[in-house]
Amino acid sequence: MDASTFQQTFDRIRQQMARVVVGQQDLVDGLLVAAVAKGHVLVEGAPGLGKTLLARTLAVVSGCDFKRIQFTPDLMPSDITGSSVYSRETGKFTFVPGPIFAQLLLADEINRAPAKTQSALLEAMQDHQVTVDGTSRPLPVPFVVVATQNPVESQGTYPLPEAQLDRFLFKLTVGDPPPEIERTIVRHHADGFDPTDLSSLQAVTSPQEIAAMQQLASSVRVDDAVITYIVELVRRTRDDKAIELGASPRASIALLKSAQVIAASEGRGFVTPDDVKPMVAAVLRHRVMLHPDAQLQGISADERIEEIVRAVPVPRLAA
Amino acid sequence: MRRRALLLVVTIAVVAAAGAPAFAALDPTHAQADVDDAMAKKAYPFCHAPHEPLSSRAIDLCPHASAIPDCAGFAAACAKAAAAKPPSLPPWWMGWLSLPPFIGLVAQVTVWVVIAALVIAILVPIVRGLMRLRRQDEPGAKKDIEPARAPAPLELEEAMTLADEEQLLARAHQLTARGELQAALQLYLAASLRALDKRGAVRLAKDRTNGEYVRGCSDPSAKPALREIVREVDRVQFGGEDATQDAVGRAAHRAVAIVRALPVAMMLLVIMVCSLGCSGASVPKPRVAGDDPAGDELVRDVLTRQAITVGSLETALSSMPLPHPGERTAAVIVDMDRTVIDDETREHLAAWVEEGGVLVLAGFPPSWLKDYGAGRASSSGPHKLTARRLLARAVAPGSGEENDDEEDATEESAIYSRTEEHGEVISGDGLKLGGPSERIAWFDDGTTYAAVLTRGRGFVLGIVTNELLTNAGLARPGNAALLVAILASTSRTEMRFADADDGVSPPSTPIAAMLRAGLGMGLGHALVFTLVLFLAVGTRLSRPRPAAPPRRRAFAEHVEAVGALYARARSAPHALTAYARFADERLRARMPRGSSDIAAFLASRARMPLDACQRLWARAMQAKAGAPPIGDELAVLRELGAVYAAAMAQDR
Repeated sequence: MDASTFQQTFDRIRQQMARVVVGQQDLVDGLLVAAVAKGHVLVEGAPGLGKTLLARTLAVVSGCDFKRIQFTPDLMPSDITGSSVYSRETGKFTFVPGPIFAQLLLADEINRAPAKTQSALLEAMQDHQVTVDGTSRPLPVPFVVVATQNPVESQGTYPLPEAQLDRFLFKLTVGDPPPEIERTIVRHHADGFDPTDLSSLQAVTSPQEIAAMQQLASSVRVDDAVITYIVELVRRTRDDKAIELGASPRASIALLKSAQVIAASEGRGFVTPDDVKPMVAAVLRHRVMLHPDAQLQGISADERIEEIVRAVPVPRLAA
Repeated sequence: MRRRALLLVVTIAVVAAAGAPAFAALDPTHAQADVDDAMAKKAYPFCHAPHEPLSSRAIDLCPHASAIPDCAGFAAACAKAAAAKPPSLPPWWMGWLSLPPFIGLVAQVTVWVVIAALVIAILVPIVRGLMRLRRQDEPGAKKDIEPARAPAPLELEEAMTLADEEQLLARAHQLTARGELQAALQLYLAASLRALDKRGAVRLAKDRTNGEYVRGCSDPSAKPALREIVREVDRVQFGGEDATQDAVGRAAHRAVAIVRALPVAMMLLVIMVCSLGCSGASVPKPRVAGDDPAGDELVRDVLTRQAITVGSLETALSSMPLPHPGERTAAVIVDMDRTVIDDETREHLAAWVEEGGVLVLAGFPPSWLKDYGAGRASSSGPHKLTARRLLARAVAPGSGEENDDEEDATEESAIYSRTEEHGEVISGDGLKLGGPSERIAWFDDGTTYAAVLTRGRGFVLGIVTNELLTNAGLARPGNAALLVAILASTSRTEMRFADADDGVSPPSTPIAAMLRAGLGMGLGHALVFTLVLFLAVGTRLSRPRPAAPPRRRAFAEHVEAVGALYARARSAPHALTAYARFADERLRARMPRGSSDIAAFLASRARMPLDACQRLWARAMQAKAGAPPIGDELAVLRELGAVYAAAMAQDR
């Protein structure tokens, strides 16, 4: 695959998804970038904003296997990973894979399951494999977890631990659509659109092509100045006094990977700071922990990240 | 006997005599010869080629045209003016004529509203910026959460901020010539950005990427060129490719196009055109000296020939110094139809005359000084005039006037010459004065045309119309002698003519001066231009507004918002007070009977030292809502919260 094919495929997926997911271009782009960057996405938003539809649409358009897990407080880790079941015929234990063995996994309302169950995803998300009964089993390629959580309800939920949050490449927030977009959505439904039936969509790519795109994106050139810029952005989160816990080096890597995909999606073979900046908030917002004093003053993580981005000079050559 | 008694009381002051120099200077006998000579030698164009269209004052003088020899041009112009009378308007049109004042009022109000809005638009960001600075200067928690300082700016940023775009271009050309293509490429980008920043099309900032500059460029004509330059720069800087001569050449071409674009010049041109258009300026036909029948060039010429020093008043009427006792100041001639005088000037003129000044007022008596009681009286019959020179006038004893001569005493206390001069004017207006006066000129029916009114040590020579002070009026045969006879009564050898704007006292402020000078429109244009310039260039300095907070709020965000509200309202004491009361109430409910020491109870439950707990509790109970913050409220609140939580954990 070359750069122009990458760009064409990327645009094709984007256009196809935009047919169904209306007015959420940032969300579509974020999900697509994460998928190509071998990352996972945490989507936060109120119910009814199209989070599940988004994941299903990506699955259909990309031709990937799709599984959905509705997280509940009584969900067990084995319900996700699968378990060994005794077979009376053979007299042996055989492994029955759980829903995690899918190319695109939707973990709906992930914060409704306890930490123990959430942790079942840790190994899968990081190493793309699952270990059950001492046996590691690789997950299909590509493997993308799209987790959703509802920010409104706090009772009966289990906030994701920092280690878990760090596994997500992006945290995307979904806001209310503007009136004109909402009118378009309602018009689609009035015209007969059924979100449960996505048969009208066609797969414009394949898992193999996605894997090839992942391969190409990772080969995009990154100049030292851009790496310095990325590292400086992430390091600032550790020096900021409003932030109690800054982002880890994994955040720098995430920023790099996502910038590579953005550059490739524009048909470029190199990364510029312009590819990095739009991804900073999505990469860092769930990786920083604000100081209580800052929280008391009403400061949000996005505000601090915006300040940090504003304070870091963009690399340029000296004249 | 009465006359003798009067002479005993009144000292006859002979201010001029027939043989005195002043009277010798103004000699009516050769006045007409002077006019003829002046007309012949100087060929005043008002007679043969007057300025057209005739002014309203000139049209009023048209009846003289036929009486003046060789004045066919003036007569023809009068005929043309009479033929070109404005057509009568239909009745429905009259209603529309009342609209312009209303529209003018609306326009004025609109302009002031717009100006007020612009002033507010400018002041609000400034005030907010100052308040923000003040807040930042205050010691507090805000400072603690500021990020670490940005590193020193790169050289290119300095270049973009400090250097002129033309200098950057020149340096880039030099680098290109030296073969330093990569640096040259950067400088072409810097020059383009600097030029666009100057125009307000982009805003330079260290944190902005090249792509953001392109996307944020508000000049659509420059955007494609900037995009191409950025593409080349990024390719070289981040793509690791070498800068080629071709690429640098293309970037140079585009940078020059951006830097030397014409929008600013075009804007200035448009503003200039608008300024001219708004003021409604039209190029008037150039005037030639003496081409106005209502002008006074011939009058001055004749007076000069009569050995009078003639000139314009070099100061405003209200600024004329008061004469010293015995000083013979120049007579000041004021054409009241042309020179409008304000109240301040009027008062000064009255004082000036009282102190010994000689004032000649011509035309429109109702506008003269009120205490003169001047008014109009109509004469009957032909408007033929007779005038005689006043040789001496009666003045009160001790007034300081000199007695020069007593020649040719008449039946009155004043002394007149025996010879009379005759002329003719158009207007039949006569002069009526409130007090005693000495008549100089009169119509055939006895109505006064000109008279002398004594005030203090000076006097006023009043002439009911200004006809004789105009070119056309004086050129009529006979009128020159008439005017000379009248003016001879001033007994002055120096005369100063007041200009049209001499009747207004000097402005008190520079703005008033500009408005009086007719520069009000220009001043307004300059103000608007300044504001446009500010908005065009100054907007790049404006600070972007922070994004609006999300509409949906979780409970945690609600708590944060409440906390933020407390912080903004500086109500930490209130928060501490409320929490302390809450803890007090809850702890009292759990205390064993007979116990009253809450601090001891809290210390035992939370397992913390008693003295520390007592200090904490005492501080918490000290807090009062509305009291000014001490600074430790949040720390005490946090500590109390932890201790209280530990104490309550015993119950779970």
